[in-house]
Amino acid sequence: MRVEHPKPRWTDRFLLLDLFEGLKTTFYELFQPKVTVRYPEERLEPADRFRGMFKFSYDRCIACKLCAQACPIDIIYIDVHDEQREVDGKMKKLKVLDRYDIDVKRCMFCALCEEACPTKPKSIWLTTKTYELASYDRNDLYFNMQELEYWDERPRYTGLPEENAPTQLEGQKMLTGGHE
Amino acid sequence: MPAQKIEHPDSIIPRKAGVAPGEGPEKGLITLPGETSREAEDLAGGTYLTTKLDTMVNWARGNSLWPLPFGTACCAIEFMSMVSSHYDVARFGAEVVRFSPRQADLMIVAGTIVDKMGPVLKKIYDQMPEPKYVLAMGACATSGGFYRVYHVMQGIDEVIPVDIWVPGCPPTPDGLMYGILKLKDKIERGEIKRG
Repeated sequence: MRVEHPKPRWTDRFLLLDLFEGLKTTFYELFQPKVTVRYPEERLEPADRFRGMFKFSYDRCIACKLCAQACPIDIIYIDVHDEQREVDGKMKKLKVLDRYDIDVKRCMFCALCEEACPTKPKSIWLTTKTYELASYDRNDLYFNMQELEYWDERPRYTGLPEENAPTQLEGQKMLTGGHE
Repeated sequence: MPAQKIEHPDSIIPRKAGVAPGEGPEKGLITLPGETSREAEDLAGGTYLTTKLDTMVNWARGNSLWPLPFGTACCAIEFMSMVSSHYDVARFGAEVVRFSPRQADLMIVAGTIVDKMGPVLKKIYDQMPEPKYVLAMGACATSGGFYRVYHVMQGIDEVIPVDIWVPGCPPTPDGLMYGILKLKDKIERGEIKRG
């Protein structure tokens, strides 16, 4: 198939009018409102159903291991032991969590564990709207029970130097929730 | 040089120690971006020129990270999103995406690396000029992700050194940008010494 190009006029050749034809779009966009979100200062808030970082509640968890069974890649590690405890004046056999670890570096954030959780409200949930998970060390992405519960007790990264960063002792206190 | 565990005060994970009072950069001195307390001590020791030069070089390196997208899977889509105008990583000087390893500083390994791809990854890493940094993006590059199988590399640190890990499947563009910012911090603090 033969394509007929229009013969260029001499004005196009010498005055570069075609160039300005293309630059029209550039100049038009120059005065349009900016769409960029200036990330470290501003933060695009995710939708309500966004699946971000885990949050875990030790008090609500009944150690039923349903989340670990629901996990498609088996990255939730749970250890449980039985204990006799007094509840409402009667001795009852209760399950007590020893270990609740999530290997977040492998996770695909499908939230099947959250769906499987039978407690109300859920004892594991992913609606924390947090995605700042980058780490200098791969092993830091393996979260144990305390870290899953208390990781968000620090202010979010703002890109600016922290004036009142917590000391090591304060950080440990946050981690253990004040115990011990 | 033995691998050192780097503790960063900006982490969201509380177990890492923050800057203890008295350890921060001293007030009153001329501080350039990326200057640490160690360098402030060096100032008093009379090594002014070399420390300042290092600081300047690190600052320049941190602000001109030209990425090489080693995209093998869906994570590369999020990388494209980060480069384009809504997130716009050009604000941090990382907009010049180079598809030739000889012109790139930062290798963004985005996607599943199968065992057959390992030699290719290593070769391309070797072709990059110093200084070079590696960002492992996504669950697959970080740990193999849900491919817990024989033919997928369980984390790209089996073949190349990695400076920063960004988990997520895939990570959001903001999450990836957070990783690049953390890497920039690390470079400007002079904690990566290679080349």
